[in-house]
Amino acid sequence: MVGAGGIGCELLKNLVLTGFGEIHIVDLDTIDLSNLNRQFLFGMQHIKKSKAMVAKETAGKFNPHVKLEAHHANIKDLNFNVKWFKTFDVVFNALDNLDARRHVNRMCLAADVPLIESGTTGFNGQVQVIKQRTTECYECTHKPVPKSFPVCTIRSTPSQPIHCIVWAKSYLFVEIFGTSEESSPDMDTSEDDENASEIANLKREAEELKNIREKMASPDFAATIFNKVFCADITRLRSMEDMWKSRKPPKALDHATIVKDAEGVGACVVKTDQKVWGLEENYVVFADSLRRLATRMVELKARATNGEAPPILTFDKDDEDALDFVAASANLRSLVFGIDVKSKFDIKQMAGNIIPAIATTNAITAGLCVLQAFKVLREDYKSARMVFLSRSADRAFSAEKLSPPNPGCEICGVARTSIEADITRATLGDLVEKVLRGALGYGEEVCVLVGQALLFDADFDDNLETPLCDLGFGEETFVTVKDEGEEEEEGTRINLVIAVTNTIFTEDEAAMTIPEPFQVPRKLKASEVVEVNGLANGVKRGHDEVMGGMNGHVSKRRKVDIVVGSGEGAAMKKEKVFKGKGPTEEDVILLDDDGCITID
Amino acid sequence: MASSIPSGAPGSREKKYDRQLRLWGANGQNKLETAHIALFNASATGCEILKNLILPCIGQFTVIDDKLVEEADLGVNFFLDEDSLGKPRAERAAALLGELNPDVMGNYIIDNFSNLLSTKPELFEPLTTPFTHFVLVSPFPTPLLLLLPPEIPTFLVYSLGFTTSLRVSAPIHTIVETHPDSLTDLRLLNPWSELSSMATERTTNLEIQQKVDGDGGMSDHEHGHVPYLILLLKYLEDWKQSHGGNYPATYKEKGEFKVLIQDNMRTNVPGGSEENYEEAIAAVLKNVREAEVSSETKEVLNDTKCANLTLETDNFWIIARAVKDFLENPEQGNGLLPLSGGIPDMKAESNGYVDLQNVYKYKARYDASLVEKNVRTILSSLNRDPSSIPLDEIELFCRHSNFLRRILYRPLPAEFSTLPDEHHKKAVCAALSSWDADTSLIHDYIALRAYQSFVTETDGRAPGDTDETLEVDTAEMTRLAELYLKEVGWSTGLGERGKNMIREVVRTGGGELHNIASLAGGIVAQEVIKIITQQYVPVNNTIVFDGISSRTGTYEL
Ligand SMILES: [Zn+2]
Repeated sequence: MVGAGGIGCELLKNLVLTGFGEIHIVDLDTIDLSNLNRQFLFGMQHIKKSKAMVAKETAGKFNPHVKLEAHHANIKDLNFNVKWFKTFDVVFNALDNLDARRHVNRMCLAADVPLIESGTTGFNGQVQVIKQRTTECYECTHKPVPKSFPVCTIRSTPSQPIHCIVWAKSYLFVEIFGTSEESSPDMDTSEDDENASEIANLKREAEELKNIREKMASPDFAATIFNKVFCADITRLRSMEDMWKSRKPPKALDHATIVKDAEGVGACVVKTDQKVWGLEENYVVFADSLRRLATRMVELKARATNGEAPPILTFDKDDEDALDFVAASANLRSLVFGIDVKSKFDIKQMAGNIIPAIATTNAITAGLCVLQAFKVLREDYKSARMVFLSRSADRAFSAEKLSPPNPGCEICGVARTSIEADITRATLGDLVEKVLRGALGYGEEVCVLVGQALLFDADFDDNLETPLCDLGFGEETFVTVKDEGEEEEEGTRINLVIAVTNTIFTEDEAAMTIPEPFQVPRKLKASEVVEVNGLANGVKRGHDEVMGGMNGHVSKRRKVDIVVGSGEGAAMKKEKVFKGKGPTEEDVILLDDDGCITID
Repeated sequence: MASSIPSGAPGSREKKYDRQLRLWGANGQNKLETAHIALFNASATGCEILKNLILPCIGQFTVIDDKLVEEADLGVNFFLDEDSLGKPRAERAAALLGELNPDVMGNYIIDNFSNLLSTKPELFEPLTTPFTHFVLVSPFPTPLLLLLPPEIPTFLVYSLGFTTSLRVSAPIHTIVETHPDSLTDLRLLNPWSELSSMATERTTNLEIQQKVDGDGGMSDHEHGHVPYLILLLKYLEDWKQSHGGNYPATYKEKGEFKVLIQDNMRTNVPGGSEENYEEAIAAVLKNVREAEVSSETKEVLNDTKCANLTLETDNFWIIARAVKDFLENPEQGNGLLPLSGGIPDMKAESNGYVDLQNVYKYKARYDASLVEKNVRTILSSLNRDPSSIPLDEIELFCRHSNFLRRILYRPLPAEFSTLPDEHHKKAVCAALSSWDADTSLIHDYIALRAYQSFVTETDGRAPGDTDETLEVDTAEMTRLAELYLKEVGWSTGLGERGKNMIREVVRTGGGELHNIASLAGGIVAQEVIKIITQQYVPVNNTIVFDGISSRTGTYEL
């Protein structure tokens, strides 16, 4: 189970009470107050502790027969390699970000382990079953990427509140408290002929800010920053007459006037986060939050030892000081450009990419994940479903048959296998001769790449004697193999991706494992694509078959065993989950092929 | 971080509930926090429902149950632990559920529904009950269901193995914040004078190519930044001139109208096209239409509650009446609802966009001020304090005036009496004869109806609860289902799928599965929250979930 957040807590509870044998929980996050409205395995006493650890501790009490293991770690860490993924019968994704989702998708494809992918936003949710070569993968369909704004819009011609928020968060905050080298995904700074001069301007102004940064400890720091970004920079921008011929020019703010007008506005205005603040209120919050942040920075600097990288602050929506500063700065800029100002509550959502979340949607989604897992463990992909939740009153959710893989998908439209190799001893020659030509039947015309780097092809055999470690191989390396053979009757092979996991073998062992030989599929002509997977292509919303037979044996004993759990608290056991352990003398309950629970 | 630094943190309550406040706001949260939910039957499903209501912070809950915790409970109910064995279920469930959220007050009553009805009738009297909502997880004999007070919103839940259902009944339910995908109402074919003159003013030199600065022409930059709403208004006016004063109405005419816009786009510009023109073309089909009053809003405005206002009438109906008066008054709405005021994002210069935004905003504010005047007049005529409804509430109502909802829930007796009413009969027969009847979840419902009859005649015993009675129970369940079908006038009898469903329900022997209980807990709590917050559109009135095919169906039964 990757992710122990909203869906994860529900999922873990369900898995534990359903009687799964061994569950690993991976989560990097710690518990925050804003999790408690739905992540019920956590309480106030757990704030700042590891989600994975606390989830294990709380849920474990309910079924001592389940083996739980918690990893307070990033799923992208190297120890979670393909070999590790292969040890599971099914993987659940209960993540909150695209990057980790993609990573797990690829790892599960590489390990050929079924993945149940899920996510929620407010009342909406989604559950998708992913199995290599059988279903669509997470990346078969395009996922919307976060919006990025052209730098000119942010820098000179904002027209919407979000432009000013991005400016405050990704430019101003970073220039004062962060490192300006970091590039922000919110801002598109790619240069072209049109914006070259503006980018140069931006750099110059950033340079000036950096100089002011040195005066952080000074009492008039806020005034200096204010005068620069809301007066001097604006006046300079205003002076570029060409720009304002068809636009309403920005109006610089005068510090002295505002300070006078803001007299009597207390800093406690910051508490009214759902109210839209006026100019003076925004100024007060700006000055006060800047002072708070500067104090923190000065303290950090005082504590930093020589030789360490200078301390920085990074924007975090849950850091109130940072949020106040960004909210007030964004609003002041909006006022300069005659744009609507927003409440701090709204700005938090926009700046923090906050996704609304509630217990009910998570409960429904996690329940559906487990129902799909039953089908996956029976390898019954025909009756597994992709499920969409919506808040529509017509139905709580809709279920669709799984789509076949997109043949054009760059991630799953390839064949995959994995090997282990001692990269200090195994050479590229071993890989080409033993694995590709030996086990998999490739011919002369083969091309081997890692990322974009070409390691071998028919005209380039310089590296054959080189150990893999000298060719950039690390703990886990994905090698792409392209079949460049002449068009044979059966067609050339589709690309093959080999996951090479570094492993230490003893001297007398071979330096590399050889995969089970298998036929790498051949590329298909477009007309053949439809039949590839046995799942009808393009049929989206088919009939659900009538519920499978309901002829399970019924007995008092069975009911007690399944529904209630035996005296020791063991709930339903599943043969496939208990792989390698063998059924015990007790009644073993199987989920048989017609979807019913029966008993041996 | 040093503790001396003052923090701008809003209350920790706001922070804790931040992620849900973004769904229903302070309005919804306040309603949630004043709710007091009574749960009858601390089953796994019941506890999961409460969990999902306690986490977002209802005010109070009371668990009502007269059983003791058995081993059977532990494997399926996450909110009963080893230590609870042998103790009252109501007490233990209330304690463990209470731990989920210290902001919520938990209570319990060790008793059952039927006893309480006679010993503490005040709990069921609308004027004396401390409860705002009832959640009942079956089994309950039918005569008890018929005694439930119709004034209190009630959620009747079944959870048997893979089969679950929810029936909602409530007094008339009104919703202002239905949260449609968009509130935007552009009024392109019904522009008011400020909007029309703005469109004319901003497009006077639209067709003149600027050669040199100040020659009165429009530069490519300006031309490419005229907001698409202005473009649409301008070309609609042009169209009208050449089409005898009529706007494009048919699909074909709208297609021709798109060509008209396309022909006026400047193509000798970088990229060969203008984004604002593309936006205008894309908006034609959806937005070039008469402003109309939705059928849902008509239902509200035509409800007798709007006509017969009294001292006790809800604010909803008073504002609805004020909106109706606005709509019908030629000096006010003149056939149109108050404007919602929002406009979508579009390619434009900041000031051009802001000016346009302001024209819509001012009109919306003006419309709302007229509605406010109507509200004040109505309040005075009812001898109520004219200022007793705040402007905020009126403005919110006006913004949503085309998306209002009123749901008349059918009372439980209409469905559960020995002779259900005509509506019920029709609804069931319609589902049984629809094209997808083979896979329809109405069969799940029928099996649950048979179960309801079964527990009524056995005083709470579940069919299939022992091996010995399995055969007999299946036969009896089948007989009850056939009897029910006869009552609703379905003469074909129980089909293959119906029989399967009966077997499936008997097979469970009244037992729950944790995973399904949890899922049902999510589905039910979601509807409870919609009813409490009076936001979003709740189901009307039955939702059935089938865990084997992961499907739901909704019916008004
Ligand atoms: Zn794919």
